[in-house]
Parts: sequence; structure tokens; C-alpha cells
Amino acid sequence: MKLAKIGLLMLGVALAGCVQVPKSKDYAEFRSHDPHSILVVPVINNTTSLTAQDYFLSTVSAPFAERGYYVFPAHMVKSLLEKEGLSDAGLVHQANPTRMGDIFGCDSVLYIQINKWESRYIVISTSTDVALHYRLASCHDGRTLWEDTREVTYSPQASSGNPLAALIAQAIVSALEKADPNYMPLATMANLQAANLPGQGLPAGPYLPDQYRKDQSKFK
Amino acid sequence: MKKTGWKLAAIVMIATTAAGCAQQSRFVWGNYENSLYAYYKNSDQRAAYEASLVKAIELGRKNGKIAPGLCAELGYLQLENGNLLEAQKNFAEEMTLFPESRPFLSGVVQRMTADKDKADGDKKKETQS
Repeated sequence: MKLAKIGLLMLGVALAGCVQVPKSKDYAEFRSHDPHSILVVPVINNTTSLTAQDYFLSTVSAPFAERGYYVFPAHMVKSLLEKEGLSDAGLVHQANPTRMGDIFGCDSVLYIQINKWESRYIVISTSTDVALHYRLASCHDGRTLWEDTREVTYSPQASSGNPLAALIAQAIVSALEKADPNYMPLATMANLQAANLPGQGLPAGPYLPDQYRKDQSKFK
Repeated sequence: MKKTGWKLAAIVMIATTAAGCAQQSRFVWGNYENSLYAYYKNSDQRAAYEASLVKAIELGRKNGKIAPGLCAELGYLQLENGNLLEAQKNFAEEMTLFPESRPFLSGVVQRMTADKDKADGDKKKETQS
């Protein structure tokens, strides 16, 4: 009974990704730079998935723009960089952010690395896992304004009731997940958490005028 | 029902967990994410991506909530299509809504018109000779 309670509590904490309170980040550098715009550049893919970086790019703009920042058109930027011979994300990430500032007139660049993008099939359950690293750097002096790491896992759980039916149902879902794992909801969730979590994410930007510069209690 | 029911429940749970972190939507995105994803997955989906941008912008315009980047993304597709006039209109709208895009997009428009003038000039030369 006690164990079950602890288990439940643990589950609750794990689910309440928004409520968890790790140590708050230091926002002094961020506040002093006061970036208004974010350039999302092509993502570095450290995984064996060949396509993760392209698919992932479609999930970045909205969560960060919703924090009140001008986010540059991600696909247009990617396409233009490719035409300029910068199709290698590694080269873009290595280049000084001030160079991106010269080209795009952006205040900051968001560099993202995909460190995990996998679907594991364990006996009858499939677990899908996405891990990301974020770094926002100033285009004016190259300094890091914000950094974050997110890991999100989705593993379909059978509900209680008839154990055999649940087992079969689980196997069916696992097979579906394995055939075509859908990473997008996970990627979106990771981005939402990265951008929004109090003390961890980004302070509200100028396009959220009622919160802009007024959320020091959440982002010191 | 039971089989799909709890899968749905799991998805809903993920969605609500994610939504719990987000505020009410500041901008209208329409189907931007899904259609761009589909386009990256299969380049046949380019027209659908373009259509979803048009729709999201129309909807956003009604509420004064056009999302950053969408007009520029649409303008870029139109530029690729060779529809310079429409492209320029959309770049102009993006610059009006979001002045942060001005240094970048005004450069793009400048190059566009320079290229067009050059192309027109070449054409003239051809017809003259």
C-alpha cells in the first residue's frame, strides 16, 4: 500500500513536468542583452536517425515565438543557408553568431542539438525517446544568453482491467509505434518545456507586452 | 474501443501536459507545423504547405494574430514559384508586422528586384539584337 502510494507520487512528479522546480537559472546576461528576435538555424543531429533534423525543425518556431519573440522563418532561413553553401549544420553552429547577425540582422541565434531520437522495442512495449540541447547566443557579441537540456519519453501504458486484453492492446500499439514512431508530439513537448518552464525557460519577450520585463519573479 | 480508447487517453495526456506549460496562443499558426513536417517528409506536399500558410495568415489577419515568419515563408515559396509580385507583398507585410525582419527581408527584396531588372535588361537586349 505504502509502496503503491510512493509509486503514484513518483508518477505524479514525473508527469508534472511543469511543476518540477530545479534550481532557477541566472538570467542576468539574458536580461542585459534583451534580445527581441531569434534566428533558428539548422539543427545538429548527433543520432543515427537520418532525417531527425529536418523533421524537428518544423516544431521549433511556434513554442519560442509564443514566448513573445520574433522568430525568423525557419524554412526560408534553412533554404537560403543551403544556397549560400552552408547546408552543413556543423559549419553554421561553428560560425560566430555575429556573422549570422550580419546576414539576418537577428539579436540571437538558437542552436539545437539532437542527442537522442529513438524508439526502443522492449518485449511488448515501445518507448520513444527524444533528448535535446538548446543554446541561445547573442548576435551582437557572441555570448551565451541561455542554455537548456530536455529529455522526453513516451511509452504507451496499458490500462488496468483485463490483463490479457491489456497485454494484447499494448502489443498492438507497440507494433504501430515501432512501424512509424511519431516523434513530433515529443519534440513539440520538449520545445514547449524548454521555452516555458519558470526559472528554466525564456523570460517573456516584447510580443507579450503584459509580461515583458514584468516576470522577474519567474525568471530572475 | 478499449484498445484505441486508452491510446487516445495517452495522447490526450501528453497534449494536456504540454498544454499545461504553454499560455494561451499569442499567434495563429494554423496547420503550419504539420504541413511543413509533411513537406519535409515528402516534397510532393509543397502545395499543401503553401495552402496551409495562406490559410493561417488569413485567419491570423482577422484576429490581428499573424504568427512571426509565416508571411515570409509564404513569400519565399512564391519567390521560388517565380511570382515576384506576390512574394514582395508578403515580405512587405512581414516587415510591417515584425520590424525585426526588416534588415533581412529588405535585403532579399532588393536583390529580388535587382535580379529582375537584370533579367528584364537581358531580355530587352535579346529582343533588340
